[in-house]
Amino acid sequence: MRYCDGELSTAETARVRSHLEACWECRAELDRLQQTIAECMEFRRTVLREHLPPPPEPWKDLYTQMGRIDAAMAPPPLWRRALRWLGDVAQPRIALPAGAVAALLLAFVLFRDTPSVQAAELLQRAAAAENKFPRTARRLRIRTRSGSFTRLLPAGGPSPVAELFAQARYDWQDPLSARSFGAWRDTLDRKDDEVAEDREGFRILTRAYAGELREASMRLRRDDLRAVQGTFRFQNKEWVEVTELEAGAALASAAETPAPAAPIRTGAAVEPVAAPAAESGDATDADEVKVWALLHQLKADLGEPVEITRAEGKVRVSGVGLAEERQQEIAAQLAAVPHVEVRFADPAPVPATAAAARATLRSGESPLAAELERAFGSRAMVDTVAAEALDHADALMARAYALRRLRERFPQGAATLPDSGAGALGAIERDHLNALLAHASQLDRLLAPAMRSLGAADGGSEGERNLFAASYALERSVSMLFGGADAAGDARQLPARLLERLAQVQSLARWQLAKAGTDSRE
Amino acid sequence: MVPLSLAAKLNSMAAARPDGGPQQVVARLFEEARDDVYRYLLLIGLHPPQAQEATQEVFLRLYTTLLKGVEIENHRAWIFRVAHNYGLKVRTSQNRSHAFDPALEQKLTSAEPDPERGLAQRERMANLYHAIEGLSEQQRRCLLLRMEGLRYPEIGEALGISPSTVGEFLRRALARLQTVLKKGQP
Repeated sequence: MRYCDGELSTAETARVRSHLEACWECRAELDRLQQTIAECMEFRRTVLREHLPPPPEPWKDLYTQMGRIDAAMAPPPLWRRALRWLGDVAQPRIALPAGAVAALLLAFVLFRDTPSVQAAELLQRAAAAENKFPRTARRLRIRTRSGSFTRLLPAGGPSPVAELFAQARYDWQDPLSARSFGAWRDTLDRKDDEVAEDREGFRILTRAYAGELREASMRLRRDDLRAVQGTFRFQNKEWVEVTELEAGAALASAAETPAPAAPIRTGAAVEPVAAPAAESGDATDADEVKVWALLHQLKADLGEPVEITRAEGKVRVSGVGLAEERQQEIAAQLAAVPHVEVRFADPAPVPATAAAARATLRSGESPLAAELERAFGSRAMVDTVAAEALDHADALMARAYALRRLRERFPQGAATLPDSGAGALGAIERDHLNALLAHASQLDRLLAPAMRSLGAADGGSEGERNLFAASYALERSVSMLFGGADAAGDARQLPARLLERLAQVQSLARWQLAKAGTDSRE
Repeated sequence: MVPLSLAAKLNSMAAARPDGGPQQVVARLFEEARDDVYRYLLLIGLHPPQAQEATQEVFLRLYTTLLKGVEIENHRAWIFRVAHNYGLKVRTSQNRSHAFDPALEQKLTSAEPDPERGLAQRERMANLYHAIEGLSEQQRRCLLLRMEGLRYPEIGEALGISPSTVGEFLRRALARLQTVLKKGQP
């Protein structure tokens, strides 16, 4: 075979040729082999060419596409390089003549950087900023077409989203980083970039002409160029939105800090919903409860950064960093409700206090990794359980936040509301409590047997009296169990603490549910 | 005399090269090989729209590689190597449950009689197709790439196997096909 294909060395070829001259049997075998090869080529020439389907579309003009590649790969113009050089050397002691400065500014205005150059420079600076700090685990909220969940990354374990990113050659272990974004962008032969700037920071949008990932955008915070939000759209119409959660601080800030009424700078603006002409008077508590109920139907009260406030006689629904489709969905849901104003904006900068309060987690390895592997049977099983447990913990926490917001907004409960409002509010609360208990029950099923096998006794329900605080503590325990441990904690106590907090949450939720049922009957 | 623009100067410099510059090289290869690459991608399971898009992508990658000054000894081998690897990635992400099936056997048996080829030849081709389908995946890939003119080291590089393993796969594949053709039935 190798002789037939010319794959032998010169010496070997000579030996084989010499043998063939002497051996009819081998020569006949070689003839049969070459005849088979001829049949294969006949097959290629006739069958494949005639019976395979032709290309469904006309072939694109390659010269046009090669021209785009040329444009994307062109170096920055000389004037830009000169301007950069001037920026490097310009020191206070160098005073340029006013005319020269004006000329340079004019040149800059007229011949400013292309978006591609802007994007590349911005990503380079952001990546340099990232390199100054060690990579730590980050809690990320991930939204997809089919739902939302929270992940502590970097983390192992397969998932449909991880698979999507792997096929797109985008680092799923660190999706919210200028490094990963830049690395993906550098693989693109052809791309279009857009760069937008507002007072909170920068937004880079890159569209690819080919590949699995067709569009990616990333928001960089102005202060430190930290990537805080990313949106990814894939060729198969899937989309993924990744937002950083600051160990609950971001959720808290979204829940407790009214969004600034800043106009939208990028994307389609959602205009304030004007009140119907016939309505009069100011919004009432009943109107507000109606808004809560409608948002509850959309599940927009479960951790999404949507705010409900009262201002200027209206119920104002505002939010930060929501995807455009979600903004429109919410606006449509509330369109017919009187005394309602919908106003969305881009993300506000994370307050310094929230940033300082960021919990520091180690880089993703559980302190009980070996014990968990023994308890669950394998590393793969640990990863599977971790993913499911974190999902339930996150969903439980979202319900706890929603309940807290309702309690803060309506501290007297349904007592001060008219019948219709009281009924709606009670229904929302019971729904949240039932869902919270369901997630707690799932955590019990997933984790309790393993925790007991690690020596933890079933926890008492005394201790925390506040459902929110107990939920928060439980959610932290689950995160620490699978992703790391805080500096002051003793990892060996984690299983016992987790069971204790789980018992507290279940007890408190059942009590509140029973109370809500009693209140509704009164 | 009007001075030449920089772009015109560059174009004339490229035109003076024996191969006419990267654009001309890629354009020529595109005309020569795009249908072969497209058919190869169909045979490894891409659906026609993905196969066509992947084909164009391969040639644009070739252009980008040449622009970077990379020397490529055998353009055709490079194209098929990249097409194979890129095609497999596209195939795994295809939003369909099955790889593309060209249904060649059905087309062969239902094709109109061709006076030039005769029934016997059509039956041989149908049997050959059936035999090729019966090869292991690596044997089939080695065979298809060899049919496109790639040498053993080039096939090995595309498939991630050694040249000697390529030779072994091809030997077994042809032995199998020989048996089928000799017997006249799969």
